[in-house]
Amino acid sequence: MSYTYEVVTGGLVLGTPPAQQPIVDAKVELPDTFAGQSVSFSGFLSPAPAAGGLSTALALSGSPILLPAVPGGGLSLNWILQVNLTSGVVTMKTGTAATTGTQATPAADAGNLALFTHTITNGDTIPYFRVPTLLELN
Amino acid sequence: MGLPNSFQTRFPSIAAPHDGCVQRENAGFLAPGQTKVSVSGKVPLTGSTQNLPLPTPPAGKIWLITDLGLSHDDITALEFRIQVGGIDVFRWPVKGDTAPLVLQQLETQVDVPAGQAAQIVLPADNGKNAYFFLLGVQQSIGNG
Repeated sequence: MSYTYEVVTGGLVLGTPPAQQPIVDAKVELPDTFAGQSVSFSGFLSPAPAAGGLSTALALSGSPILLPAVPGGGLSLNWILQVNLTSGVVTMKTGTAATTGTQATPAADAGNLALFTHTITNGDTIPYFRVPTLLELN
Repeated sequence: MGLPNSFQTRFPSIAAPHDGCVQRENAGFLAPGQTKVSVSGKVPLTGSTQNLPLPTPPAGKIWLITDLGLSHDDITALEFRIQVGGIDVFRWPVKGDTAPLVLQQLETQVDVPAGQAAQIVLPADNGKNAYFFLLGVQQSIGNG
């Protein structure tokens, strides 16, 4: 059993001077429990090289990735899935557990884009009962 | 061998309107200001109702739900609700064996405005499972 989020975004030419957005198609699946479970994903990235236009689509790779452990009493942590805008490789960055409400969301590394942002709070038992933030380029 | 009558057309001629009005009649790729957002899943039901959260649109966006499906694997009728900002915007009984709910290509969509929490209220039915999909487009609207 699982809960899957799908987002397709980007692909437009926006701004002054005009800049091409990459196209990101991501399907992210959260499992029913945390212990020893992973987040799974698939999709594609059409990179937007500096020379303009869109490059050939690349399958997102790196799935699955083990979910962070539920933090201790009174604590929360934020984690993201980030996609490398050249290679399509997806990695996880996990923030530091802190008092709930004060935890910081890790920033995507240079050349990456945050696909999926999620929070885990002490006492959580089912990952998808806490809503994620999905990538929105448009 | 003679050529067929070159003045006999096989297809009716079509005159393009001079006013240049064009209507797009089928789905295409994203238009400016649009992101496709969909969710689907299979979730275990319990002895109590459960609030299954849905993605929240960011500022300046509205999520238009164009297609939705709700079902479960029990033979009794169970009530599903979709709530936006704590208010029921959709409420319907679903019978798993004979009457799953599938609504496609909604002309007037259920919507989730920017920043408002939305959720599916799952019925209570311990040991059974709910199935759902909500497909839609997150669209720019106004100044948010």
